[in-house]
Amino acid sequence: MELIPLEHYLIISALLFCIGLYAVFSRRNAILVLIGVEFMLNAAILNLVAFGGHLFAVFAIVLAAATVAVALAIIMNVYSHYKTIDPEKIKDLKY
Amino acid sequence: MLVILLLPKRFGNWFFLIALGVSLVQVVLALCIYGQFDPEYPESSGLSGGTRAGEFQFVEQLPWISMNLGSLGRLEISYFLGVDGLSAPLLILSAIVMAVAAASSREIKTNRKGYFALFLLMNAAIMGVFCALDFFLFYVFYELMLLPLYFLIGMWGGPKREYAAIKFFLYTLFGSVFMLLIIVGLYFSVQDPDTGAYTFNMLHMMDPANFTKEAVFSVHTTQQLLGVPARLLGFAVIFIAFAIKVPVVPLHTWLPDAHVEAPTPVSIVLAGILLKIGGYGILRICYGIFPDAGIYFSWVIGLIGVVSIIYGALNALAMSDLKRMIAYSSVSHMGFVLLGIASLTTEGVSGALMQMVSHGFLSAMLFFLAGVIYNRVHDRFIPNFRGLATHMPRYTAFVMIAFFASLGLPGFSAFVAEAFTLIGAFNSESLNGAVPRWMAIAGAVGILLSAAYFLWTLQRMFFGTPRFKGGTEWAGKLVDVNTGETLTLLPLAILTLLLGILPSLFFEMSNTTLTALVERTMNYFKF
Amino acid sequence: MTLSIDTFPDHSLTVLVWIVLGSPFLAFVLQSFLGEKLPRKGDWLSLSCNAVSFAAALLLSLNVFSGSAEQVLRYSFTWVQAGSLHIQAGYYLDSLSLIMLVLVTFIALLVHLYSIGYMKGDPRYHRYWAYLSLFLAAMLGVVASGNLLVTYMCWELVGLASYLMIGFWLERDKAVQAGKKAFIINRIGDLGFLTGLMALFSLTGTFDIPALNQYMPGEGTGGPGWLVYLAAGGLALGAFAKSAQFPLHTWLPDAMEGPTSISALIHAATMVAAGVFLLARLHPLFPEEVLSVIAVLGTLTAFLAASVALVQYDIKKVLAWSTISQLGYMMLGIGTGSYQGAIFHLVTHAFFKCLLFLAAGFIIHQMHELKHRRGLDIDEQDMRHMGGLRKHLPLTFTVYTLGAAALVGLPFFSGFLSKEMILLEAFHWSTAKGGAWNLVPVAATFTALLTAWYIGRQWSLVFWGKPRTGQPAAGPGRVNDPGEFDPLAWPEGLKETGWSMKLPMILLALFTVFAWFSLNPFHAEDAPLVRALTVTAAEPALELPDPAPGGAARWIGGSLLVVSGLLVPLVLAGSCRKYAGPAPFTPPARQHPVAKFLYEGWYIDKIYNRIFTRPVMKLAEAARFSDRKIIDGLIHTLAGFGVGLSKFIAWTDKYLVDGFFRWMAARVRSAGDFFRGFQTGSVQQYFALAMLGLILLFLVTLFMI
Repeated sequence: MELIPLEHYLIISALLFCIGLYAVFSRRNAILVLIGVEFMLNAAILNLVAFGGHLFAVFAIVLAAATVAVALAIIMNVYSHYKTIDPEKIKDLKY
Repeated sequence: MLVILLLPKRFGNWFFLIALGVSLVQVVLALCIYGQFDPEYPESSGLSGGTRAGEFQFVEQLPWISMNLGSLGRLEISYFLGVDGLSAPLLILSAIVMAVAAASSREIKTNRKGYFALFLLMNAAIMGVFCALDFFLFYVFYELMLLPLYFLIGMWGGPKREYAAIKFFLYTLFGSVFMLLIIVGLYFSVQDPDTGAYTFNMLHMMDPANFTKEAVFSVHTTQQLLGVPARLLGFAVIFIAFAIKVPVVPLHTWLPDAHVEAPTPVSIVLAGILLKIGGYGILRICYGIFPDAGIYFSWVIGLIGVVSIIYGALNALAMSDLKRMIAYSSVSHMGFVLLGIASLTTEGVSGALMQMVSHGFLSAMLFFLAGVIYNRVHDRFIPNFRGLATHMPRYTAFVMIAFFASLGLPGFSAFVAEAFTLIGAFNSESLNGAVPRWMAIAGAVGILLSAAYFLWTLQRMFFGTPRFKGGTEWAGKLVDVNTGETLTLLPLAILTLLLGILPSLFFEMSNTTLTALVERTMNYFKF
Repeated sequence: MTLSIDTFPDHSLTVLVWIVLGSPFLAFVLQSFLGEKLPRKGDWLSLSCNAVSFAAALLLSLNVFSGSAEQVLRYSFTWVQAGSLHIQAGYYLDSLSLIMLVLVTFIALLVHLYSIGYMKGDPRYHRYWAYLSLFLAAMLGVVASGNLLVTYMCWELVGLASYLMIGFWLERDKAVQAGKKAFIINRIGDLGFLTGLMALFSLTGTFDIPALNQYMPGEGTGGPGWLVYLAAGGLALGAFAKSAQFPLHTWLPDAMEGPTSISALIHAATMVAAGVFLLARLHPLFPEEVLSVIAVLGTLTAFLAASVALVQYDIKKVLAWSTISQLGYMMLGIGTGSYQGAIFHLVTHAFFKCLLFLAAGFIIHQMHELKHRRGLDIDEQDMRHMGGLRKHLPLTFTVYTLGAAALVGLPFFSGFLSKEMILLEAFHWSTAKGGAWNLVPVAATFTALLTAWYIGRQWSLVFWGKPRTGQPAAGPGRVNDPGEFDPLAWPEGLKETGWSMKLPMILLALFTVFAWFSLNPFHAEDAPLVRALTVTAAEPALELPDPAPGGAARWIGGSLLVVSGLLVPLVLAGSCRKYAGPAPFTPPARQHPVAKFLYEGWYIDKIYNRIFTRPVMKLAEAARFSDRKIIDGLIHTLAGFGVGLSKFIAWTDKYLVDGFFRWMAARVRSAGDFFRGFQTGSVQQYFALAMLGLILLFLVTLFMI
């Protein structure tokens, strides 16, 4: 079976990363932003797999699952507090 | 051994009992010290005399702060306690007066926990002052004693208590702050003969051999400080610090205010013990460390003493507040202490020390008696009372004992003390020329004046037909002394009588030390 | 004397001495703690202790005087030791102090007995006995002590007892004031005493009386001569205050506010004589000049007091001034070197003056009863209300007459012997000195005539004439109607009752006659008492040259005899005649200025008040003012200055120091304002910026390396 060359891995992971970045920047919904973050995380994991850090990859996936759970819980709380999950409308950190 | 740092943080009404218990334990310990005190200690133990620790008994020495300061050498401060014939009588006095004060603290109603905590802190500090043989430790105790007193006067005092407390605090601090400078100066002048390091050890300071040659307070060279010989300046500064405590005219005005505003137990402690710290300090530190300057200044000190005697007595004559009258009589009586010290004769110095002890008992008694009246009707203006003798006969008996003892009636301790002081002062001119004779005679005039003001008060307040400002309401409140008060007053009366009839009880204790002190001072220039 | 020295070896004598001294003290201690609870309030306790003391003293002196005349009892132990000062407490009993011991205990015993009747029913009865015992103990201490410092202590305690006794009725303002005055004036004397003590110690380094007496002033290198004068003068001042001599005599007339029994014991017979005793005991110490001053002042006092006694109306005041006058005689005796005469007069005076006081007390007692029974508004001590009492109080009359005769110095009475001795010595002394010194004995002799006048006046006013109890008292509105009762009818039951009061008077009256003292009624030289004193005494410091050959001495003696034998009775008779009639009250305004001058005691009290008491009070006020205003004012000014300074510092702090820091703060703030513009609060923007930064970092590392 022919080995998939390293470049393909990297290209896909870069694409994934860019898509995630875009989602994080532009979405008006926190869940979609979260999905973007997950994309970026997966891009990173893909890189880990490509370079052979399988064990780290497994760790990262577990962690990602945990983060998602925590993040979704946060979003739930944010929603119940602000009645919105649009990041642009939540500006309490402004000076 | 003596310093009992038991601060009650417990609950309820136990504070009073704890404080009283602690004080009584102290009295027992003090009596043990008296019992075990060996008046001829340096000889009997075979140790050589001189300014060694051998003169002291019950010595306890532990290194406390020991820091290596590189090029500055080592900073050595030790927890160094000891008792000799000078401090032992005062220690016993303090224990007894403290017990009396604790017993009279029953009148305190507000914030008892705070009161008794401060009271015991003060107690510990006072004991420490009398035992400390390390100058730094002495200073620490000295300041530690000030703070509780400030709060005790300022929080539990009379209507003008804040004014009085601040006045008292500032006066005393004024003296002690400058004393600190001298202490530091001394530290850098004295070397421990064993280690060669600078030291705060008072005993080393008393030995001229331990002074380094170029130091500020060096014995060997006359260093100038602000255009004045440094040792004279050092003596004067420390003297002023203690003179404020004694107090002497014209540094005395804190005393009437503080005494009048302070609650009765604090008045008792103030008059009974604190004033003695002044006299003790002058003897132990001023004359111990700067004997040359002491001789130089003795004329001035004698003069201050005489002025205090007469000025205080005249003021007492003019007072219409009982407590204020007693306060000024304290000024007058403490003048004898200065006169005796200045005479630099064994009789005079013994008389001065005895006067301190005797005045400690008597002033405690006097203030307690003033407190008895004040507690009953919250008034102590002499013209507001009349004929108390028929109304409160037992109270009057105690007042008469206290008054007659204070005015120097033979058979009471004050007489012996004053007679010795005056004899010493009179003799001084022919022995060492420290004090001229007329000072002794002028001091005797003070005894006359004291008879005048005490008898006049007795006549105005106690004799005649009973008539009070508050009418029958007062007459009902002015009940005779109760058992508790009698139990407090009786030991004091017995002690002053005992010391008056058997003064050797006291002199046996102090004689060796004081003779050595006087000899050391007088022989100073023979080094 | 059946008792011989062998039956009493030394240690038992010591025991006796301690019994003499200790038993009154024991009585005092027991009495002051238990007095109120004891049956009869403990009068028997004091009385019996005193009796024991007297018996022991008597035994002791019999023992000593029967043995070798030079015997002196000494005992001492170290009481206090401080430095070079060793105080030996103990006793030193020579014949002088032995005589005093017996005298004091005897008189005290009689007065104790008398007091049982006199003080009966007093609310402070038990205190009275405690004070009396205290006095006795202290007085015996003064007499017996062998150490001058201890003497001084007892001396002051005697003063305390006197103070307590004068103010015994402490509800009376006058009594309390008199007590205070007595104590303070005695304190002035004590000041002198103390100064004398200090000077003596400075000179000799000891307080031991025999050692002091051996110290000869001017001998050796004892110190500057003026110290001797200081010592002698100081001791004399102390003695003058205690013995009520001019200028310190004013307390004694006031002291009459105390109970009369006390006036008899303390203020007539014993305590006031302590001054004379002290001078006699220390007489070798006194330089001649000081003695001369003592003699002159003594004479002056004798004259002054006698002249004041001429016009007094209070029965006790007359006796008080008379006491002062007689003490003046004793001082004259001391001053002229005849201390034996002084002590002799002390002894005789103690008997007759005590008698007079006790009798006067009895009269007052009766007048008081009368006043109560009749509801009269009179002063029971005012002689103008008395008169004719000889019929009602015959015994009192008899003993009073005897006492008065002794006081005047009629021949065959004790007072004659002693007074004559003093006057004789005084004449010797003045002839030796010559010149104006002659005035001294002449004045003293003249004073003897005055004595006759005032005591005659008193005797007549009290006992002769008609009762004047109904006479209106001085002052408006206090008129008693004399018609209400018959003044001659003495109430039933008011008789001379009470043996406890009568017995002492009778015993004392026996001692007014010459025979007890000297078998020769005209001359006392051979009196055993005087002999005893002369033998044991050290020779006087100054030997007077025999001034007059025998003839002159006899001449003086003879003329004195004439004076007392003829002139004195003449004067006495004159005064008796004059005062036997009515004695009207004269309003003060109508009093003759001389009489008023005398009545007020030469205005000495008022002068003292003006030149001493008031200035001292003013000084006290000034001291208070200076304390309040000057010293405290200074402190307050300093405090104000401090506060002002701190306010200034606060201002600079606020506007200069703080200004700088606030400027700095403003700059920091504006910088912060600039940077906070980045904080939009949009999470995505933060993230973008972070990315941007990351990329920048990436680029930097990429191109820099």
